[in-house]
Amino acid sequence: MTTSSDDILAGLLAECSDLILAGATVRSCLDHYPEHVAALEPLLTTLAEVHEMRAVPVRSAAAAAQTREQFMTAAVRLSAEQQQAPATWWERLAAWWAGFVALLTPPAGGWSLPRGMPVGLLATMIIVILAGVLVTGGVTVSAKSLPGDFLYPIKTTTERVQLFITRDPAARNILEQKLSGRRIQEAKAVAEQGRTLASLPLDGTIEAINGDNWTVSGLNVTLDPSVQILGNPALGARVRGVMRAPGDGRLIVFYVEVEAPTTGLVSAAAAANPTATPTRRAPTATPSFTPTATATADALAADSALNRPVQHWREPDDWTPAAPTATPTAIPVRTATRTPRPTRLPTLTPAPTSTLHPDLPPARPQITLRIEGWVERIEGSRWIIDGTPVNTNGATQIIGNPGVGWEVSALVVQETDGSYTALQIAALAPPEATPAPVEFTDILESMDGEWWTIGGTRVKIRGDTAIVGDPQVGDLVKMTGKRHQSEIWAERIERIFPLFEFGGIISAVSGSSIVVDGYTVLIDSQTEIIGTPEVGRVAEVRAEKMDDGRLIGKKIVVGPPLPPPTVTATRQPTPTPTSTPSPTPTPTSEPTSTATPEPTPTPTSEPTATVTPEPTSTPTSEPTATVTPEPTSTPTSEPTSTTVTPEATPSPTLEPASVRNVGADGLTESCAVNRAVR
Amino acid sequence: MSLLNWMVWALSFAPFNVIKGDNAVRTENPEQQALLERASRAEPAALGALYDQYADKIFTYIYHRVGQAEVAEDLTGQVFMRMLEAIRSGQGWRSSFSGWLYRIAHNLVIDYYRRRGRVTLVDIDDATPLRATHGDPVRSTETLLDREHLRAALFQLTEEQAQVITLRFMEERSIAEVADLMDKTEGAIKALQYRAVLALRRVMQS
Repeated sequence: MTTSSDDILAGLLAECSDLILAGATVRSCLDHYPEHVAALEPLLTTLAEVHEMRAVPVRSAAAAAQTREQFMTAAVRLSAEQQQAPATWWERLAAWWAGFVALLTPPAGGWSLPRGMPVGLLATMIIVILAGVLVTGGVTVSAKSLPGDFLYPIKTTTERVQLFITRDPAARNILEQKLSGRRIQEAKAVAEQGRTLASLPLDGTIEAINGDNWTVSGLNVTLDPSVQILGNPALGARVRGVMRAPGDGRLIVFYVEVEAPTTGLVSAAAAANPTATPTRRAPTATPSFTPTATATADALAADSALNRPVQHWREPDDWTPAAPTATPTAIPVRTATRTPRPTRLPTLTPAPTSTLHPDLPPARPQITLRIEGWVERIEGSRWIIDGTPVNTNGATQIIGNPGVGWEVSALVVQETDGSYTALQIAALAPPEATPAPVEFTDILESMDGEWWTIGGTRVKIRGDTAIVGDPQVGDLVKMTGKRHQSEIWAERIERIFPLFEFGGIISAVSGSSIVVDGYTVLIDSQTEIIGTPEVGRVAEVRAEKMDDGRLIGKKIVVGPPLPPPTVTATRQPTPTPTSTPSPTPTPTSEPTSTATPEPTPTPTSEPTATVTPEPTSTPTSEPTATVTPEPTSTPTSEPTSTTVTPEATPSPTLEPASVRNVGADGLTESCAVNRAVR
Repeated sequence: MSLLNWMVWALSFAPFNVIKGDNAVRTENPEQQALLERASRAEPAALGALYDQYADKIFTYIYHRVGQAEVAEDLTGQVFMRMLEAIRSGQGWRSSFSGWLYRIAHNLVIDYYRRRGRVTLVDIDDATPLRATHGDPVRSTETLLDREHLRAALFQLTEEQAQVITLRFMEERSIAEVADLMDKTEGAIKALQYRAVLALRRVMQS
């Protein structure tokens, strides 16, 4: 085959493949290019076979939600990192190199040369690998570096790459612990050497609390008087934060976030009751408060054992989630996360039950938390962020000049009266120029007036919201709408039903239904029909199955007409009852075809009326004996044996006559007017 | 900067440019461009929006290549984590975002099979049930076997051929979309599609 003929065939294949993807058959495509049938047919047959195998299982809502939650957690963390630590040019360069060198490190299975790799490219890569070897030396040397050293960024970046490529959870956990221990050792070394550093990471477990002096994983640190603490410090809790080394051997913590205790001195009860974190389905940044499970009694016992005064925070008496979405709901598809990491996702950590320690005054009575969301309005010094009033004062730091409609992140302090005072309000994103479209599919969890909760996200039902399929709590629904600042306004909520795909011969067609392979498929305005549905043709159907068993067609692809059957007037109709759950209508047509339709049930339907009983007795490939449902048909009219037209497709052999209202929504309002009589 | 450092610096870009190709064209509309800009600055809302746009598509693509929903879900998560890593290191997309994202997915699929030692047929009991076949167990089993046979056949093709087959005939994407995703011209995709179908037929017949 010449190159030019290859080009021609490639072009024809592209055209035909488009047609086949649109529902055409191989044969109909070949008819367009009879001179290329020999070359095209095997190719088209192959791609048609591939195309038939394209069905994908429905993605697990629970798994999808968990994946999204992990992503959003990482995204928020990344955002915080980038805002906190803008890298210098040489840090970026070092990071780039370290990542590049890591990429050049052979994987466990060794390299395999990709097929078709140009020799030039291979040569270039070899040179780069050699250069990388030189740099790898820098990575090795950097292993002993300390914060502040020139090579230290290479060390940390290499570690990040190590973490990134370690996918096994157990191995990753071990590596994380190892790296955490390395940070602690580095901080110790920095303090011992009297180095001065403006920023050092803190990551470890609280082993002792003595006033403002804490011991974290063996590292003695001092809290800065102005420290902002997120979370509830308790023995055994994991803390992350930032500290500085003033050069006098001390380590001063000026920012700290505390996770719920999970190990060591933590009670089993706390560990056994993981905090259910409400998941934000859409990135609406609605404040969601997460009460952290802590076990005060056990912590007390541990405190007593250590014989040290321990700070306990006072739980606000009137603590209630401020935002409607704050209530952690038990959603079947949600997975309770063990310990929510303090991130920029707003989390509120109320103190454990202070009633157990009435004699211990709270050393740090303030509770800080972050609220992310859209600024709904600004009333003087009071900002309403996603429905939560936040007071500002002269000390409030406003970053980025946010205003109404902006997405902001507010660091707030909860006052004793339960109100919030902002320490800082930082702009995250400007107002949306146009309402952002929102679309997701999830479980309908509650229907509270105009507010429905779908997959943890509240959406507003408005007068013009289209509600399709009568969704109820627990149903899977698809929501499409628009985000208006902090609210999502639903435009359409449609119940999603299980999809079924099947194919077969069309045995009956009407304006509102089609019978394929013995199954009656209802047609509505959403049904996509490709090709001309006619009795005797082959059709592939994708349909939703309702609770009552009805099938609502979503896509019907009709094949070309089969060779016309030989029909004779004396041919006996041979209805073949299909296997159905309860074939109540009994086929009664007799070989003599002398059925005399009784005129008593007055035909009230249009000529398009179709008998669509579920357990229909459906003739398949055989010529179908039909009665043309003329309203004026006389009782003595003979059933005419003919091919069925879409306008007249009543099944001829149903007894007794029935009037079925198949669809309450008017999909099929058909009347059976034929009764076959022996 | 020493000469050696300069050489290393300059050469390090060479393979990337060769792999990447120079026909990078931004195809996203202005709104999408704005969203991508925000995402490149690690704005959580923009990242979430991008995730919602692409998660199901990436899942579908990966599922078609690996045939197991759990694996596809896991790899889908990894695709987006790599996206974050790329943003963190300043090595994100430079042309078509969707094409870039699909390349990550594609590479992860390759890595997955490389770790597993090429293709392994999924046991029929472990295969994810499909929604087709209207309850006919025989037909269901045949469909699953056909799928595994196809998946095995795809791995006899070149990576690009397998990718074009997946995108065109299992995801029903147009020639133009595939060209965008694979960073090629439409003419190149037509030729590639032709060679891919030819090769696939040979493999499936053998």
